[in-house]
Amino acid sequence: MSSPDNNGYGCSRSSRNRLWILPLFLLTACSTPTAPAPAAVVVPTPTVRVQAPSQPYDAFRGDLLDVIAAAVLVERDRCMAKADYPELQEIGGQPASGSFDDLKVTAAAFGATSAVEARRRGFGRDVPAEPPAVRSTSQKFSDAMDRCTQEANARLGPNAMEVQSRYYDLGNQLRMALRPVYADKMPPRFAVPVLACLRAKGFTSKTPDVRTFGIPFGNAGPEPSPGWDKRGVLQVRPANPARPYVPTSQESALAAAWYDCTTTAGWPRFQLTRALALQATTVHNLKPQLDELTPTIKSLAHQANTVIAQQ
Amino acid sequence: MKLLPRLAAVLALAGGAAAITTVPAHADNGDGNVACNSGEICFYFDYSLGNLRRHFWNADMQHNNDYYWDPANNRQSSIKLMDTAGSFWNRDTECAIKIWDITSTGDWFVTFTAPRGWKGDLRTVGKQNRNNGHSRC
Repeated sequence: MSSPDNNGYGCSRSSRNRLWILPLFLLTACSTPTAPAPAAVVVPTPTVRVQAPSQPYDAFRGDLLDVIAAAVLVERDRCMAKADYPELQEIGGQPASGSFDDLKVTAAAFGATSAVEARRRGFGRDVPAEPPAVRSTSQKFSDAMDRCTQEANARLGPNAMEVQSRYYDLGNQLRMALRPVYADKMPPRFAVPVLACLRAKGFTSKTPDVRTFGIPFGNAGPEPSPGWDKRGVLQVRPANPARPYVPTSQESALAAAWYDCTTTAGWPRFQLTRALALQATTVHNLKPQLDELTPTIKSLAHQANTVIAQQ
Repeated sequence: MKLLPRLAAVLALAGGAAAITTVPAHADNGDGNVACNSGEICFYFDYSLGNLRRHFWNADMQHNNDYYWDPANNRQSSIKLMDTAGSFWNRDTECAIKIWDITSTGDWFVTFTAPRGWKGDLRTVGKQNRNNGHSRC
């Protein structure tokens, strides 16, 4: 849960103005050699991207899309304030982070990595913390948002919106290429031993589908109550904390058994190996698009860095 | 795309689309208006932002509990959002939206990141319009 001074993202609202440090670090750590190192900046803990072993999908710079998106928010909110909508600037733009972090595949992408974690998580997913939200039914507000978003992008470059859009598409294409790893059914050479192992642990089904074992599943707790504050023609809702998924006891037991049996059968290792092979093939197939767009994205991110530093 | 082919697809999916959770329907319907307004996260059954729709303010990782609203008949549809969304409009003022799917082996994965303002056909996400949840930022 977040404290009153915490927005649920592990950083206090009063620290928002310092959030440009992260984009600065990412940009200087990973791109143009001519980019000056930020002086007198407290460098945060390096991201997983920097520490983890390289993968073919590292050629795609989703982290820079987040930097650009953060700069667009800053510029858009400045423009909106001038258009008599200071509320967005007051709540502060919440820089996105990790929009494409899932492209970095690890064993954790394919379920729990220990029996203890499996028991705690079950088969559900936590609802992540959310930043504040703004809502309005005003057409005038909507028109101003459109105009300010366009102007904010134009400050980064003449084709900034188009390049970003194409790069998001490219990231989603890369993601889609991995879909078979997640979506394909478990082949018999894994399914047979997994089902036998589960049966020995008291869980019986004819198919390796967690939904077919006749157990009840948990949930992520109640939806947060809205709590909207009216500010002019807008309504503003504070950040929502993360809502952990709480499995049932039967689900936890099945998840722990599932972890043991699938790991013994080599299923997660097979998925990871297959994912990395698919990454290599896909990067090869999409190399022209990556080569065309990534340098432009780096350039836009450099410009975005300047915009953020000027706020 | 016309409704009937989509309905056939929904019925075909129904057998394998058992819910992973059992929470009753909740109240996040965005602002409750037919229009997809600033700040809302809007899913549509048709591929071209058609009649049946489901709006949100918040993240929701349990689309199996969400049903479309049918404004033409002013009532809730019996069609679930899970695995049936044909198009989408992200009007969240702050966030890109991630759309999530879950496999039969219990693995969650992102199928699509929609940046702020993204609007369009979700068929690119997957042949079966797979979605089990969405998250903000």
